[in-house]
Amino acid sequence: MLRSDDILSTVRMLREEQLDVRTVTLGINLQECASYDVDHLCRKIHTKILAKAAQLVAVCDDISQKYGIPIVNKRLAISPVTWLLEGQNEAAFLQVARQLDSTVKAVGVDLLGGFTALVQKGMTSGERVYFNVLPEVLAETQRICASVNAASSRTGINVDAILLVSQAIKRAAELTAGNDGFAAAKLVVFSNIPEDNPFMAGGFLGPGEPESVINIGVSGPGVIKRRLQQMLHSHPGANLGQIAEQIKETAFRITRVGELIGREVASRLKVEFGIVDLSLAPTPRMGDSVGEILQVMGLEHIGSAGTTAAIALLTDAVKKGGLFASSSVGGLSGAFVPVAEDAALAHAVANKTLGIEKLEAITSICSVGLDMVPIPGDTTVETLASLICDELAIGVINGKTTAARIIPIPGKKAGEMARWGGLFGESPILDVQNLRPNQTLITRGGRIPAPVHSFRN
Amino acid sequence: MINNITNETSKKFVVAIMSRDRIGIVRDVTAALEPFHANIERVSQTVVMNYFTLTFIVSFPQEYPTEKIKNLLKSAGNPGEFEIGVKAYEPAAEHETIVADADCFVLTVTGKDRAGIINTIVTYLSGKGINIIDLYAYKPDTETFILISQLSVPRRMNAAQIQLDIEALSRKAGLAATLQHENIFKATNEITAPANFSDRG
Repeated sequence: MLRSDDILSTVRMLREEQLDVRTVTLGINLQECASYDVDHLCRKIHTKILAKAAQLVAVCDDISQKYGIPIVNKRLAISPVTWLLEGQNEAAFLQVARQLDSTVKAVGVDLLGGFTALVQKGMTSGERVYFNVLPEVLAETQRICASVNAASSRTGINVDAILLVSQAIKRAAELTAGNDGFAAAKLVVFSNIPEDNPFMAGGFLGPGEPESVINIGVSGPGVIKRRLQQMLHSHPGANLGQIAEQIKETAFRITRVGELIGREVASRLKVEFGIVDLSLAPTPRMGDSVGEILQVMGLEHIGSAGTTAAIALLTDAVKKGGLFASSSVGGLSGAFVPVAEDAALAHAVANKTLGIEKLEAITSICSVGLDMVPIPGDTTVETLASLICDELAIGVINGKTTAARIIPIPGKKAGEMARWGGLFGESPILDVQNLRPNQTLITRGGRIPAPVHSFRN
Repeated sequence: MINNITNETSKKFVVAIMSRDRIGIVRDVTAALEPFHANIERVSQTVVMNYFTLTFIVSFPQEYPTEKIKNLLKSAGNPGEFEIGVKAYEPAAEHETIVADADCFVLTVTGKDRAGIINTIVTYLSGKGINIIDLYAYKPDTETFILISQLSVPRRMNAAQIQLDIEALSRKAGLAATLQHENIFKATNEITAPANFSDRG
């Protein structure tokens, strides 16, 4: 029999602490749709997505009602489009992108991930076509997200791919200059991309994954923040070990909620259940910020000394609680620090306590990297590529995922605001110094070899 | 030896005892039964605002009249201390399902206390054929009222509609109510994962 104080504690998490499931993402493998006839291919894509996902939103809404848990986002992740379109031309890529955009709209889902290229070691001719057309795809569609894996700990860093994707980022931003380069906010460059990430823009259905699968992103940081506030209200002198314990306990509860919802959605849709991603995914809404958790822990200025240690404590405690709660943990599973999507981080940028250098340091222990970082529009391709290369190097050497979602804002300079609204938020543009034109490191191209996996100092 | 009185007899009884709380009530009750080789099979005991209630199922090696069991237990307390109810246990009760093919939902209602809240809620529930498995209500302060109840809701019913009805009913009475499937509470509070985490059985 359930205890009444446990019941009330759960009700409080839902009502007052805004516990939710951040995303239910349905992965669909589209390989069987492959055809040289692009019209036929598009029809098959449409039919398959409708067959698998037509009920996704209705089922999520029903389960949300049953358990009293809001499910914030319902999304789709497909197998890499580049696999499906090998041998096709740019027009085919665009036609498929438009088809996906309209089909996703038809099933009531806001974003689809999987316009993806896995080029960590080299590129096919189809992937070169992909890079050429990627800016137009991102600019012309509303719901399509793209990701590029340009590095891994096993293969090293493909600098040629980083140069190509940097050109694509710049072009995508320019094509959507009137909307502060929004197209580039739907493109993420990874090292060690996870195959089962449910979060956008980097979600896709990777190699080795089932035909169809439900992956879950658990609640945002708001619950942890409010739990810590309550604890520190009753125990103002709590030490960092006690804070870690509180975070761990809360992570256990929210992970359990994620798995409960995920398994039921999967069962109702008759697809496999995949993983719960433990990442704390902030939104621009006040009170739903990783930065605010750090402030509650006692950090006055995000970006000041102590920031990296505080995020290390937070990320580790979330993992410990989540891993005890579920045997099916995957995806990114750490803390996100997306600058524009996290009001406290954006505020720290405005106050100049947080710059791109400290952000990069933080990413050595976070689950993503330089995420939703607006930079000046006149940043050169070489400078952008070097920033991305630095970020991916952190992931490659440390054997973890890192990523870059950097948006050059056309016509704007450091300190001006970049605004996208909704979940994508807003932030002051971070200062980035352009490299001198004669600096040749990045333009040498080639591949940085895979790192040694011992002698880890 | 228990004296014979002319009423129904049984080997097994359901007993309810109510009194002001004090130390040693359960000791006194079990001590009174012990000489008759009574076996207590199930017990539930609660204390509400210092009033003690004990419900238990007890079986004996031989049949006794209910009135005799009642008198025996009455003598276990101080004079006039216990209010006692005794009924012969009906064997069919053990296997009877009051609501067949049902899911357990948890209802929580909070708000400003006033007379009639419980009646408003339970009248609706009984009208819908929903059985109350467990009910607990208290006042954490002088004004606030909290009700927590576990309900057996038939699967054939539209649970979402019941949720909407209860929320509307409560809102009308100035209360906030939630009705959620019990698995959400098991998932968040128990070490053992809920049954639908199927790969763990």
